[in-house]
Amino acid sequence: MQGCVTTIAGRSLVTQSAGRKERAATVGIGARLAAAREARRLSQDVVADLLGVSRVMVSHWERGQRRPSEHTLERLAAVYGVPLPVLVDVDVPLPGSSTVPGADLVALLFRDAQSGIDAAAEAGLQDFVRFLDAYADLLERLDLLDYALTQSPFSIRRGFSGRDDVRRKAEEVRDWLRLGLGPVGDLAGILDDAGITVYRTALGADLQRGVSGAFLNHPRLGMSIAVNVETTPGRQVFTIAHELAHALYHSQRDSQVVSYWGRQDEKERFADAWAGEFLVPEEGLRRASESLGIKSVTRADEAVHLQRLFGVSYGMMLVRLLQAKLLDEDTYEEIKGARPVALASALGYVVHPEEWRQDPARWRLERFPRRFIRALTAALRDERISPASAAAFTGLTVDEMAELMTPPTGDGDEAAEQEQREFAGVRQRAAAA
Amino acid sequence: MSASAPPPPDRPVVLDTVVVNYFLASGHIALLADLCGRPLLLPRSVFDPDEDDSGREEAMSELRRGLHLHRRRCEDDITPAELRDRSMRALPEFERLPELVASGMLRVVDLEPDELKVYADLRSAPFVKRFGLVAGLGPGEAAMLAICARRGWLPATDDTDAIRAATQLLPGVQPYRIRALLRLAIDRGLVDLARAQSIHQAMRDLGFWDKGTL
Repeated sequence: MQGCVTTIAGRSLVTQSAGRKERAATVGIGARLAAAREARRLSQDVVADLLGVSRVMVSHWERGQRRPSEHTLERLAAVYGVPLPVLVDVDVPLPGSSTVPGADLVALLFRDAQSGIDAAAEAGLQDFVRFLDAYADLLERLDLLDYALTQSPFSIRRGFSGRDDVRRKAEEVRDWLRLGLGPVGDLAGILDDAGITVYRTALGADLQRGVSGAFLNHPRLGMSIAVNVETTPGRQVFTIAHELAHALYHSQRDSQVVSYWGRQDEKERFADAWAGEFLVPEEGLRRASESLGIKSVTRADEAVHLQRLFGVSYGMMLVRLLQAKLLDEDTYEEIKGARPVALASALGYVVHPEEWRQDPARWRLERFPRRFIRALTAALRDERISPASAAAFTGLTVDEMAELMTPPTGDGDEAAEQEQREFAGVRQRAAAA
Repeated sequence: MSASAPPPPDRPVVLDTVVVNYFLASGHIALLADLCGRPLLLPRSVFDPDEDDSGREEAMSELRRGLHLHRRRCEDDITPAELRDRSMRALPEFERLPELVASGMLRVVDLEPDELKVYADLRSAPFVKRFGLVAGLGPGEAAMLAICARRGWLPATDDTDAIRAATQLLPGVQPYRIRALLRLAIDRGLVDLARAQSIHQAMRDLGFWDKGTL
């Protein structure tokens, strides 16, 4: 590597003469990174998974062949539980245990998950806690940390014994949220208004080893839910409801629950059953079917209409139809293999790209709680936070933050038009049926 | 020299994401190089030519994240028309980033260990509270200021938090803002007023928030 010469207006300025020094620093940092990783007993594969880079890249960094950016070093420091200045200072011994703020909460979640989750899920849970801590800090500095649901208004001590009890519990929460019997709509937004934070993060694409969601009673933000963005939109809605069950009925005893594939204890079974009753109440389903002219579901497209109306997954709708005896076992077997997204598209529904293929990067500001977006937008417009700081906070781009400050002119109209088209479509289809 | 044009740089200038973003997206990166010197110096957090283009976005440098945003917006049917139009204009310029590094127009500056300590401070919300900020600086801004603080170089940024921090961290140093750079371009005869105004407007059409006039 050579020294760098910058030319300004015809004049040359030596900006860095110490190429050898630079290379030595890269090698020194690499050795330090390897030592920090080994001290945490993590493999290069796991670190690569946690950071979202290739294992080869981690190897290049540690061997001094590539230099990680400042931001990457910062993220590595978080993974190794070491402050950045300590990670890069060869004269300071690496600490034996984590000294990073928030590590206690992450440890609580990991303990709850035991060994049932993979590195990608661990990274997502770390991101969840990091976001909650930073969000609470931001709200405090903006004097906006005014309400949060820290205690459930419901108690599981009244006990539950079977489906009727689960249904009653789902109804009491619908009453509390004033939802009536119809489709829930924007559940994350409704919970946000009730003081429950919902945050979407990548918790692993491999659902056999990943995590669908998690609940944490955060010390300052209260009830908080993490949802895996690497699952389908319908599955995400189910996860939010499932974690809501933990928040409302299990938080008296457990301040955190991690939900992952294969976890089949009593709490999980209750949360699954409760989520179904909450999202698709039997009475509401009957009324919706009647209004669409469906006495009993005999075709996949009828189930798709109901699924889209309630905003849940096709699989879940079939289960609820079976439970409500609006679908018989033979028809279920016949239509369960249908391709609901293709069918919805053919029926004229607006299909979101996420329904075809899950891509965590496609979730932009929608990942965040509505209240957070409102606070951030106000702070940007009042110049209490700058676009670059806000971009760093959200992991998004400066352009997206600039759009929050000055929304593009046609944006709001287009969203409203799309909503109207969707609404008109459902009404037309209902009338036709 | 016009009254409001800043003095030309007498030391190396380090750029943050905001400045590169809008000069690049509007197709005027060469003008920026004429003003700030060749190669243009930027921290690795602003653009890392060595990183994996297929990794997770959160792991990417800031301009590469912008590149991916523009690619997605050009392809997605759900992107509102105005935003797609912006991305269609910006994308070809962002795709040139690796080539700009290879040709020597852009050069990455890595931070020394003592600069990384300053960087870590500037990223920390409790530390920057002393500058009146509510959140830590972005990685690109923090890295840029850390370099300037330790090497005495000059910052170029249009990020208000970075400017607030720079005023106290680098006493007597006026960061180069985009409008000031355009005034300097007029002053040095690189563009005339009408051309500078049209460049400024093009940047605003791409989302740049500056409401002032040249």
